[in-house]
Amino acid sequence: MSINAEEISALIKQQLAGFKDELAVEETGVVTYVGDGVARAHGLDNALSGELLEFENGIYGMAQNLESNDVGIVVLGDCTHIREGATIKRTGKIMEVPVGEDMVGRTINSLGQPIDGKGDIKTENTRPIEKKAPGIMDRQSVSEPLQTGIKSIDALVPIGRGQRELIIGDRKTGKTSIAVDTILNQKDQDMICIYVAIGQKDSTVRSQVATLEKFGAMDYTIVLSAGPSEPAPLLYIAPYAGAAIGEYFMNQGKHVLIVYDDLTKQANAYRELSLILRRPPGREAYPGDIFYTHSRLLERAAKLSDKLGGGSMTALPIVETQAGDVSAYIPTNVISITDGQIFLNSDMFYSGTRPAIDAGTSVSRVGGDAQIKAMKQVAGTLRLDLASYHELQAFAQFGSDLDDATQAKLNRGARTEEVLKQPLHAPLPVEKQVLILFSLTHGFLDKVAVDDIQRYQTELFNFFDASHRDLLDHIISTGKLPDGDDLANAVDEFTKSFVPSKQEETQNN
Amino acid sequence: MLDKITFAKRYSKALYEVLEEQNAVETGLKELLSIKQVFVDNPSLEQALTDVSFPEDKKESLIKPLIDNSDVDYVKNLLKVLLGSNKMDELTLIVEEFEQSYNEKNKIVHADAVSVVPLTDEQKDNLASAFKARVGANEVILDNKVDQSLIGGVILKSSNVIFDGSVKTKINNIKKLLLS
Repeated sequence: MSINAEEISALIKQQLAGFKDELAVEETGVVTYVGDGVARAHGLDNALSGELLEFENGIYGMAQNLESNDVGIVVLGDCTHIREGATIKRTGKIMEVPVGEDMVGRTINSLGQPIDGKGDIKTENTRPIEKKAPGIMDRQSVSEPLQTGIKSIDALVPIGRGQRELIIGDRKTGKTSIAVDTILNQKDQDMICIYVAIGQKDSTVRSQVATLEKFGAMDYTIVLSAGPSEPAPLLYIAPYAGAAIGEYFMNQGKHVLIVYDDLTKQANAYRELSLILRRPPGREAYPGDIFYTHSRLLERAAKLSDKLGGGSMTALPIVETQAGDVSAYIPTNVISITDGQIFLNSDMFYSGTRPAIDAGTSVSRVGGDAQIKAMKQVAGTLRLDLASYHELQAFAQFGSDLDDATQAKLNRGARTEEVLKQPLHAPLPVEKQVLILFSLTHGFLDKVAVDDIQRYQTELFNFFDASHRDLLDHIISTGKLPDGDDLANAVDEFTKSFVPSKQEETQNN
Repeated sequence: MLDKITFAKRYSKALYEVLEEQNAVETGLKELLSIKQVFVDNPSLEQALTDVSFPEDKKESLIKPLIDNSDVDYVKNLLKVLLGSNKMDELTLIVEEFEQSYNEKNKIVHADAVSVVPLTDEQKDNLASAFKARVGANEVILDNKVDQSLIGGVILKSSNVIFDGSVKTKINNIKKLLLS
């Protein structure tokens, strides 16, 4: 392959054709203060709020505070090379990120630049990071399910496509794991997943990406990371940049899942910025518009009307609590913005109930409509069962003198809790979830020892895969339980053949 | 505490308004400019006048010739007020703000013209009249500066706007175009 000189000169001529000899008119200002990721500048009389400004050394900033004498600017990058007295130019553009198909499978920063060392990302489009959310007429109600593959979520707090479901809990209670497992379960579901890591340790993000790669989830996932060593402005804009990329796919009629991990750190970054910009502090020293910061972000999650292509963006924001305190400022704010929350309980986590989803305090306000019929049928009583189990658990400690009904409730509760346990990175397809919950609610598990339930479950799935695949396929295709007693008979057939561990041992002896 | 610019803006606005009532803006401006020149020529004067360890009566005697030479009462009073409130270091800023509001009212534009070789008077006049038409000013005061690194062309800097017609920028633009 060789290119001759003529071709090169033709190419250069073509490129030069676009050159216009124009007088460059630029509006400028002078930096009067710089430090902590924030600069102030005099001049820039016509600067717009949120406008992108360019410093002398090519670093960009975003105009935040427009005051009578100066402009407060957040610096998007290294501010150590900016000096007092340096000039700063207006660009006339508002902050944008590149968007495009090529981003899928890549790890990028808040500005849309690749940070995974896999070379440039070729994109033709850009989108403003701050964009008004779709209005009332652009939306339709949430109707399609988003299967997380986690039994306790899909059964108790179902999530629909276009919903905003908060994942909230103390540190180290498995918040990120739920989000990552949900991403893993979107394989072959025609979903684009965006994982926005805000202030997460680079080593953690690296291992998350490795997990996603291992399970083949990077084929449909974009990871956007703003690490703790980045300046606060980049942490602040990260979720907006992620939302802009998500909207690009949503507007093409695709389904998007976006995880903001986590908004507590974004709020902290924004608090830092605001205090340095000398905005007055409010409760917990957060600025007055911290609620709006989160509400305008989460409002961008939507299920678009059919006229606009019917795409959706489901948001899973994560918020960390301190010692289970959901009444702190940021948790209450985000709880009231979202369409429900999944509350993770650290006591449950340490006692071995994983995922540690607290069924009592977790709710989903719109997801019920999106649940498939079969799941509704089998999971309907689950929440009640669990609630009465927890209520009676206290009595169970007294032991013997319990009537049969109470005894039965306790038995059922213990088994329900056992069924809802699920190992890490092992999402279950919905038909299998329906199957095991069917066995539970129809009492097939009542005679199985609690310790045997996990084994019962695996063997049940193997049995159905081998002998009754048609019943599972029926659930997938129609979304309903098979008519008649076919399913009950099949489960009964398996339960009879199931060998309990205790018996096995006695037989062996 | 007020920052310096806000302080200077308030004082200059007040001064401008009273002088306008008295029809003495131009004489006032001339006086203020000459006072500013004194401060610019003697940088230590400003420091001495705000230094707390410097005795008050000496400060007064230092400033006295300036007050006595002034014809406009309000300018005299301004100096006295500033001296009394120990804000003498704000004077130059106040004068600058005053000049700016005067220029704004009368549509006078100050501009720096940066070129590779010093401009001839004729070139300056042409540039000034072209610029006058562009920004819609009544009068343009050009200040010629020389910067060899431009290679060719002229850059006009006026308040916050840069009109860049230099060869250097054009070459940079072509470079960007070819590399993209």
